[in-house]
Amino acid sequence: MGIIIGAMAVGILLGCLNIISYKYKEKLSWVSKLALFIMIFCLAAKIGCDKELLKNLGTLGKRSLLMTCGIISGGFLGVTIVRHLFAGTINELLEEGKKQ
Amino acid sequence: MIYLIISALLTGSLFGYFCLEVTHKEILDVILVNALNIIVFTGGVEIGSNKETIKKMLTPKTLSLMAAVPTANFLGSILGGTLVGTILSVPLKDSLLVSAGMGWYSFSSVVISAMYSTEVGTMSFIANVLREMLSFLLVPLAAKFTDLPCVSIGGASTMDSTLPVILKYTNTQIAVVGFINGLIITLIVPFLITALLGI
Repeated sequence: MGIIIGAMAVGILLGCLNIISYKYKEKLSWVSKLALFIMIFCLAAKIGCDKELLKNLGTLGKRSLLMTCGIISGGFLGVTIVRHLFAGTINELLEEGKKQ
Repeated sequence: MIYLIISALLTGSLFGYFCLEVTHKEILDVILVNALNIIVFTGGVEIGSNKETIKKMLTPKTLSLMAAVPTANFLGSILGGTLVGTILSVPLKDSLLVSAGMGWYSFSSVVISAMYSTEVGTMSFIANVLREMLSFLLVPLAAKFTDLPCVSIGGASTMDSTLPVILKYTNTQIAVVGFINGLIITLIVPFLITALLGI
């Protein structure tokens, strides 16, 4: 986790200091997309190569999938409530973002 | 981007199934972590480029929002998961443990398998991997209707793997809240799972 926080901190610092030119920032977007593809590919390959896990998917998978739907829906509902409670603050933030 | 995500999911699973063995998992992990660091770094550059946004976000109101989002996400996820688990006749403790993983499958499944039960550990792994995988598909969909709730879908992964998707489909402000949401959840999950295992 330390490396991830470090990578984010270095990225924010370089972004704040404006060291990276616009030309390279555009290229970074492609690098990010490529890295995302590689990451999801590896994540899926990890599951695909685990035959034992794939066997269990049939029995435990259905229950896990339904629980995941409950987990995601619950979290989504919770944050939707926060969205309504903090509507003013969020709208202010979004307005500021549009101005920039 | 959604096509990129779907094609990566499909080609990755097929490549893994037909061309790889379980022994290749370690190599995949090394590639995965490095790709993740690149994603987080580029996300950081994008966030850092909006200096004013960061300044504007350091107010008491915004900071309380950043605390409220992971709290609501935690409570909602655990309540939702436990409710569905109860309907499916999964024991309460097992439902709580599976839900408490918050998308951090590499941690939760290993700890639960080692300290409690392999079956619940496997369920935790599948449920939390699905949460991360589904985030890649659901964030672009949810972003068409709403903004902030998009950060809830990925749970702990909003600080790393699902961050670029949030950044792409919402905006920098929501992505910053997403990063903090993931960070706080990642800090709490180990304590919560350990506490639940002790019950």
